[in-house]
Amino acid sequence: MPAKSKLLALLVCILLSSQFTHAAKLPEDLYALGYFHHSADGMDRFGPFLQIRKQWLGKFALGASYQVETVEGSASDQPLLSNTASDQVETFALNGVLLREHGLLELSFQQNEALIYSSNDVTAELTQQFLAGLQSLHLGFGISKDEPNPSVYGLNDSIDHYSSHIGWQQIWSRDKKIYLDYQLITEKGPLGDPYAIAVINSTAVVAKYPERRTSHSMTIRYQQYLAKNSSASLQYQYYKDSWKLSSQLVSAHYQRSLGSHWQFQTHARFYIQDEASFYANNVITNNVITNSTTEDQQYLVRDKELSEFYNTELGFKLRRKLAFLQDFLVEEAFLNFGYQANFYEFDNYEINEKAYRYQSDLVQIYLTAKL
Amino acid sequence: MKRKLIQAITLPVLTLYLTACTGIKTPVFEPWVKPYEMSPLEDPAMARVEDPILDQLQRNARNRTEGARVKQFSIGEGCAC
Repeated sequence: MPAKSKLLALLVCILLSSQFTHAAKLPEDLYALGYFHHSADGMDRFGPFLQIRKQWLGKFALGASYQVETVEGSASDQPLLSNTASDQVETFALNGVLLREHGLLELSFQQNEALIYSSNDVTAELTQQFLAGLQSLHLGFGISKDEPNPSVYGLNDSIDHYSSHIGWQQIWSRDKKIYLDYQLITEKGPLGDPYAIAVINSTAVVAKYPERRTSHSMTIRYQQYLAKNSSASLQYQYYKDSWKLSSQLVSAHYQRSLGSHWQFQTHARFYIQDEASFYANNVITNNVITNSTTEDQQYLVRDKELSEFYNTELGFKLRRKLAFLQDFLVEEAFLNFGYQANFYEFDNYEINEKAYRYQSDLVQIYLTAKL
Repeated sequence: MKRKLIQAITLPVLTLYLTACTGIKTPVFEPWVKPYEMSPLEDPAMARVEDPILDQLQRNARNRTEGARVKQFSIGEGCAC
């Protein structure tokens, strides 16, 4: 058969096959209530969260979530912020999912309110299945607008974020799946940390960030079924942006059930990052930065998130089925407890002329139920 | 006009009829995993995101400490786990 005919046959085959695909599924009903605490480099973030999701008529799922996050302290690279500073971030989100025969359409809205900024985020996503559910295409687009508080940033400009995503899920065999994802994000506005500084000849000066950033990330993930309620996965991600910051990460996840009431999850993640082109711990120079210097030289920050470092993450989650609640109109209920530790080691971010390192901890406890 | 309309209808019908007579087979899609073999893949442990609540909290924590900017798109994800 000539190549043209083969291609035509394949296209016809794909189009026909979408007529007998596996139907897509709506997200399950969920009621969740929980609390988290994240401490990292002198800053604590903690608070409660609530999530509700319900299916309607078998065609829609509507969800809402609310979270209040208290932020306390300041990081080691934020000398402009008092270590007794505190703020509160309120997050409210709504989302709706529409089930089509072979796909899902989702619209989400999220609003954040804090002392230093407020933001609104709208996201639209589409999933379409092909070839009897063996392949799925995911498309997503998001727009977000941050309005910084002028008294903090000294500016009235807003920050715009545009994100787009294309993903492919492939069922490889009866117990293996592969995912491919590409993401593009563009941002413009005062993008930097308002409390960061730059250091020239050991003297603190005003930090200056570029006002545009375009980033690309590519992810590949392999997932293997092991037994009932048990699976393992491996993921690799490559990231690069217009600030010349690049990163790579490798992560491995494993989960299994322990008896009839317990579920155990564990993961390990290794992240490595190269510095942004305008990051410097301390610039030693006789030259003065002027408008005639190159674009890269005009910008200078000592923001450790943009420096060269690696981060090793280890975590686990335990889930306990609360069978006794099934007598109280609850179909299923679980108590979840998660903990993860991150170990950051910096190559060119120094405190007292020593390469900096710190550990962060994240604890989550939450109750989930299906009524 | 009328002649063109007749041509527009008869040509595809005739082509389909003749194609059927020549014995050209319509490609039949053979799934490499049969529907009755899909149950392991529909196990909650094989969801795209194992636990969306935990995943969201972890991502928020990493976004504050890492330089890479990655947004989570998680359409249709949501077990009651």
